[in-house]
Amino acid sequence: MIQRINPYQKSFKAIRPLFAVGAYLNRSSVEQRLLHLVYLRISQINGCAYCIDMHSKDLLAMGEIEARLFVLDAWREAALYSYSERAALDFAEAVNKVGPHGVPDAVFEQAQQYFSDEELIDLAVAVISVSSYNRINIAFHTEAGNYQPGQHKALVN
Amino acid sequence: MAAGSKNLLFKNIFSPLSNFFHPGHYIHKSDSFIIKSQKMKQRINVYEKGMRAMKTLYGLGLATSNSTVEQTILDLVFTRVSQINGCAYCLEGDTAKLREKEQSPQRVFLLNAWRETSLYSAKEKAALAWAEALTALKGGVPDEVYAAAKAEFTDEELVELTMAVITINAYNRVNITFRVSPGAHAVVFAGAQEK
Repeated sequence: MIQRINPYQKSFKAIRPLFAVGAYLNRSSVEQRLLHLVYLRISQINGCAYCIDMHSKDLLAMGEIEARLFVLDAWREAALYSYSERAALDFAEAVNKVGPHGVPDAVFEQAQQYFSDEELIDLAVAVISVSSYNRINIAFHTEAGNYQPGQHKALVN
Repeated sequence: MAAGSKNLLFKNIFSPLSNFFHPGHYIHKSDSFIIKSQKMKQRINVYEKGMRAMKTLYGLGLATSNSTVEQTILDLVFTRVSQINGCAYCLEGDTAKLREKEQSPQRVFLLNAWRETSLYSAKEKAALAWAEALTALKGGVPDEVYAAAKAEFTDEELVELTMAVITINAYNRVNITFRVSPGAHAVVFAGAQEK
């Protein structure tokens, strides 16, 4: 894939506010590893190569086991994820999808059993954050494959 | 902060959400009654429980506030994306904003079928196609959509347009997920005015 535009170079100012969202999420009371699982799952659904490369590498660097990442596409069918992880993934997928039926009551109520109101907001913001990067990298064909774990850490501190 | 910049903060950062201060928000008293009586129950008050989170999201609108992309194009994009995502709260505000700017009702109504009409300029259509592809994310953004957008906008404008699509997608998700009540963000707005 040839990069169409380097958006970070052409208009860094326009994108910069997104880093503040990332910095906010880094201080969330939701476990970072779970947030990263959400980042990876949403990037899979939205089909963002750069983001899949980045978040899978970050998760491995955090000590996550490969099997849990390889099976993430089919998490509903696997016993590899805890109840709270399943509730978070289900909620995240619904927030990512939205559409005419919104976020179903059953999904929302299930998530409420494991997360506080504040944490639910953070989970929604996590979906918004990663899907925003998905959109930028998909729009401009950011080249995937060269990410090094922690590479963008300075931007979101 | 100078008086002018206060106004800027209200108009720009809060852009997609600020529409509810438009006086024509509820056009008829009887309509207002219907809306109130059937109102969806808010799930979580995001401005009370997630003030810090919401403030970081407002920042996203900054990219579009200083953009050279015409405001009408941005408003058309906001409305079309809100139609696709099914955000009532945003639709109500975005359409009111278009009408306020003396866009004809038909320019609003036909947005659902913009490809089939000559009511929109080539530039507007290029922006709408770009916004739709980036909202649906089904198989990326096709080369022809990119080529059409590139013919109408500079590289910087395309990044800003992308941030506009991202911003409205973000607000759609907050409002849909938590069933935010119109006017709920007034608290945040009041707070921003005081600073």
